[in-house]
Amino acid sequence: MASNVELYASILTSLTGNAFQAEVCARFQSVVLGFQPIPAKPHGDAGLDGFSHGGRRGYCCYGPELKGYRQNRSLEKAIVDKFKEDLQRILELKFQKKVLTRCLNTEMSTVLPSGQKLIHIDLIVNWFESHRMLNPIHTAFAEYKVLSEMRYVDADATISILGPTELANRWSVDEMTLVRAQQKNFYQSVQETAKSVVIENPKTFDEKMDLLRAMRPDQLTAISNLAEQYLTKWRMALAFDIKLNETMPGLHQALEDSRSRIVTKIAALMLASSKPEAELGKAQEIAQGILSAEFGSLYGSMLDDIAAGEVARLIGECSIGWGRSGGTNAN
Amino acid sequence: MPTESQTLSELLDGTDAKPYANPQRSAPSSLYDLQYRSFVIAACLRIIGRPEGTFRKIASNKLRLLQFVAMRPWLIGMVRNWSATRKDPQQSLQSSQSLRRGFLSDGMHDRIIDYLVAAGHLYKKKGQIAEPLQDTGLTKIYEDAVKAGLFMTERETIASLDEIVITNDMLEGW
Repeated sequence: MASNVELYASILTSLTGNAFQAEVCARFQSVVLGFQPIPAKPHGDAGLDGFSHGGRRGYCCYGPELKGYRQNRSLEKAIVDKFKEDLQRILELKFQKKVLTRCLNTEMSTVLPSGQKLIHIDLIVNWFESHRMLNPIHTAFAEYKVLSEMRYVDADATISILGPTELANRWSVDEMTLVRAQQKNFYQSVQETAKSVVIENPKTFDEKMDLLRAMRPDQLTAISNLAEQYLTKWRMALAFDIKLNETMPGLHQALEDSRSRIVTKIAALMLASSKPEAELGKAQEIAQGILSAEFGSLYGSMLDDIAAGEVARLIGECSIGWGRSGGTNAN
Repeated sequence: MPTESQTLSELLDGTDAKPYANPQRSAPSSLYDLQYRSFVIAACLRIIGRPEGTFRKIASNKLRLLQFVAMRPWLIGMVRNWSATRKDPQQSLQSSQSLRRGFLSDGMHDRIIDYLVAAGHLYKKKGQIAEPLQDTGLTKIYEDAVKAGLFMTERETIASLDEIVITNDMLEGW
């Protein structure tokens, strides 16, 4: 049986991009007093993803999509390039016509506490299975220190490169950490699956949108946007269904029950109303309420999309829809 | 920011559209259909089970995995990978972690087996699931579906699983 540390390292390896960074930041927040994550929007993160110890320790994360690299060499290069770029920004350097020159990083002054300099920077990556990244990054850091004005980094500052195993081993790993990381892993796998999900027969969905266009020729752009959003979220809902079905059959059954409750509740409101289009406007809210009761504590962050996707599915399957008054339904 | 449903409602408002609701159009997933699940179990017993005396038998843990993958054929690559790494405990654990969580927590399978046992179509015998060779219940479900050309994917998946080494260590080593 794998230990919590091994499991956590394995989950960290499977996380990429923002999900990896979010998990690393969440981890530091739970174990390092005063860890300060740095939001990348809207002004950029200035090269740092977080700092602690009053601005004396900095953290940079990188979670490349590992499947995107066929050879270790290209993955090593991507990691080296990314961290060198982060270090250049922190040390206020930039390549101009292939020459590394000083360049003000105005955002750094709004990130670190005034007068504080970094004395150590951790570079955290989701793949660390080659020592060949060490020399280029450490050498570059030493060179950058010589060239830099050193406004935000101490002259004796050091760096360390940490992979999933090193990060997992640094502090004890409890069950809460594993659950949190697994949720991020699940969310990421749902998003990945959604990219490749094909909606088998969107014909009736398209017909309804065409009918809407015919009735509202003044709103063609809005209708196209709406259709696009619905299809994207429908794929997301299908991916959620697939992932639950693969790994958590008990929760999949809860999803199936929730679907039944959603369609029953929306239909009951529409059938009882003299203005069913107004009730249709509440469909997503109803879906979200029902899904939240089952999945809110585990997957709250993705339920907005899943609820919209479930409504799109009901439209596509003709459980709810619209036709022309006096005409046949668009199904 | 309005939800998609609110936007849709606003677009429909004032038009001559006639919204409708047909809750009966919502088809439940076949995963929860007793006939379908019984067919998959019957197919596993016939394609991979071994006749022994007056019974057709299969290890209950193996049946649990086979029926789970038969209904989710895209997982077969994961089983292949798990089998290929079975001699390396660390790799094997990592490659099978989510798959094992899936088939081990398939409570619906337990309920279907309990039902088929209660109905006299199956017996539980020392870690094995046994079907009397003369039983007609599952045979009829299986043969009717095969005659109608149904569930080809499930049958092909089960046949492919028969070519993958699945050891007791893999199934019981958790």
